[in-house]
Amino acid sequence: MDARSRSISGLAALAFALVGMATAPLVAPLAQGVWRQPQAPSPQQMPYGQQMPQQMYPAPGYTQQQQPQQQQPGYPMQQGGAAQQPAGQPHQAQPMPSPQPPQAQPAPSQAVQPAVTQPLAQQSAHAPQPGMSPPAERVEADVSTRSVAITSSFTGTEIIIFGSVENSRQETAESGLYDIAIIIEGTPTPIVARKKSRVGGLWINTQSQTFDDVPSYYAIASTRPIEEITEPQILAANEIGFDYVSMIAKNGGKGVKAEEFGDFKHAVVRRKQAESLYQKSDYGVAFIGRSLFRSSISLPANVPVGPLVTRVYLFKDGKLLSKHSSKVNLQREGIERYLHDFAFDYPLLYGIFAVLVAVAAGLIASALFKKGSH
Amino acid sequence: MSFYLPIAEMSASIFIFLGMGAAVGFLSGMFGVGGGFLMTPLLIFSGVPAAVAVGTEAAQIVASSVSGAIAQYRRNNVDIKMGIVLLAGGIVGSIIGVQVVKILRQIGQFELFVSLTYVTFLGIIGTLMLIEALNTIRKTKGGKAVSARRPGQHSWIHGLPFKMRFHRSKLYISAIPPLMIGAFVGFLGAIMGVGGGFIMVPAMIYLLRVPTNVVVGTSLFQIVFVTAATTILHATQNHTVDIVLAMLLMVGGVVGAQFGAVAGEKLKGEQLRALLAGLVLLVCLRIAYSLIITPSDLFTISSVMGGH
Repeated sequence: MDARSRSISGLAALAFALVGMATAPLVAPLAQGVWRQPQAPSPQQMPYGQQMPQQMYPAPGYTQQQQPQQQQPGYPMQQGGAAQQPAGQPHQAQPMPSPQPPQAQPAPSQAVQPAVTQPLAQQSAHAPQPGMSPPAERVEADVSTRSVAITSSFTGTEIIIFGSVENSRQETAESGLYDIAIIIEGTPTPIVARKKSRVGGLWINTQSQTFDDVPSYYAIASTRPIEEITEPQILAANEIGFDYVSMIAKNGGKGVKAEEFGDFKHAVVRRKQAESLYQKSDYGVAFIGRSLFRSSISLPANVPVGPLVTRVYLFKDGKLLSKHSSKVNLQREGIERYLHDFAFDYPLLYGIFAVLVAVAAGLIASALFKKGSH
Repeated sequence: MSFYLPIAEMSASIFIFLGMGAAVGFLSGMFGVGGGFLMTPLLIFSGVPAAVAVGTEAAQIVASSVSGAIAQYRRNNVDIKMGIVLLAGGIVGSIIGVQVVKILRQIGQFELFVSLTYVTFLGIIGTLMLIEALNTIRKTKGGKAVSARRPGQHSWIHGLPFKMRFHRSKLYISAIPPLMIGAFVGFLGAIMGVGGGFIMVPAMIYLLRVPTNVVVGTSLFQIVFVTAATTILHATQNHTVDIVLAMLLMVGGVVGAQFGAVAGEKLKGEQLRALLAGLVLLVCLRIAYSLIITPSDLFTISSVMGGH
């Protein structure tokens, strides 16, 4: 668990590196102003390279010292105005129905702030910072059901995910200033994908590729198609969307050739979709207030048992602002749970039990049959 | 009303499986066959994983054979000694069969293997039965009395060593052929999810020359114990026995068999056999078709064995 959360925060940091790269021209003037780094290249010369994030992310202690300065009234406005020309253009192409005049000016500095305060890398949506003055947007979310029981009558269920954007700057639910992507992911399990080909007139499995860890379940809902929300690098770094579901080929195993690997990956997604285990809802998240949003994601009857992880991402202008994750437990309950555990924990006893049940059923049936025939 | 099957890991309407059990039970009651060769393909067609279908069907066959075996035993129609020799072979065959299932599942060829085995055996047996039944019908129409063929008194089987005396069958033959037949039937039962009566009965009549009055009882005796062993082996080796599914099939099967037996009494033996042969060939063709037709998706996914 620790290793996993660490890797998530690693990914989050990587995501911010990417955000940083994307917003490099925007950050640069700010960096020059706030951190007084004369060596920082000008927006036009800024290379989109690896060194950029390092320059932009000073040590956390330093960052915190700088925070109050960020809040100096009027200061972000100045910087925002200065930075808007190089950075604003690509984002204006996006269909953002939000009223621009009040929102647009502080926007660039907001985009910088998460990178400075790094809420993601700390994974601390509950950290004490929200009470303080920095009005960085954060997302917090929860699920309607923390525990789903799979009983004999389980035919699937719906989970409501609701959350809010702290320090929301959008005026109404319809402003569309923010984008939310919600992902519910099941336990990673090993999977084999096989491909049939025609051999002597028969369709036979001829190729196979084993994946070590493929999410048993993956549902994504977003305020609009994720490709419109942000760029592929950010999606990939956060495993958002079917194209970026984490699938690691089993190493050491004899897999398929590299050029065919993609086919197998897509096939896994396609087959999982056919079983309703992978779901996508492009407009499945709706804001119901300035900051409140909700979504419902259906768990089909065949959802594999195990903990589900819910990840909620907050975007603005294509930039990842914040992330929140929570857990849902999915467990078998009732007699099925006992039977399933029985079958896997005590297979010999289970087998004997199955035979005894069968013998008893046969004897009862013949007794009934005798009575009926006389 | 939906029900969650704990091992097959699917949710299905209980009426589908009760109905399936009843339909196959009706046919097996009518024709006096076990019905495994119909039930296993039906389960696979309805979306139950092939290995779970085979493992679960073994448990259901125990239920459907046990009352018949007891009834035959009470009528003294069981050659216990012959049954034990067949059983010894059957358990060895079952152990091998369950291991073969395990290996084939790991390499992803189990579905193919099951289908090919079904096509082969159903094709051969269906054709033979159909020819035999049609011949009988033609002869009876011609007015000739049909007498059962008297088996010849000697064959190569009588030259084998390890001879044993089977009092109930009035036979003095080598133990090797019954062991081999038992092993073969046990092996087929483990991989096909059948009792194997459709192989064992003709083999006992034509190869071993066991008198027909003890054939059915002895074969049922062997089937009960071998399928019981197969059930336990599938449960321990493959975790593929779904007890909830098995119980649904048992309940449906018991009810269906009663009506089937009544319906069967109204039909002549050769007509029944012709109908059964037609049914066997239909199942065979349906499975063969699924092997030949281009699948809608060339790719399939399955969980890795052992990764539970």
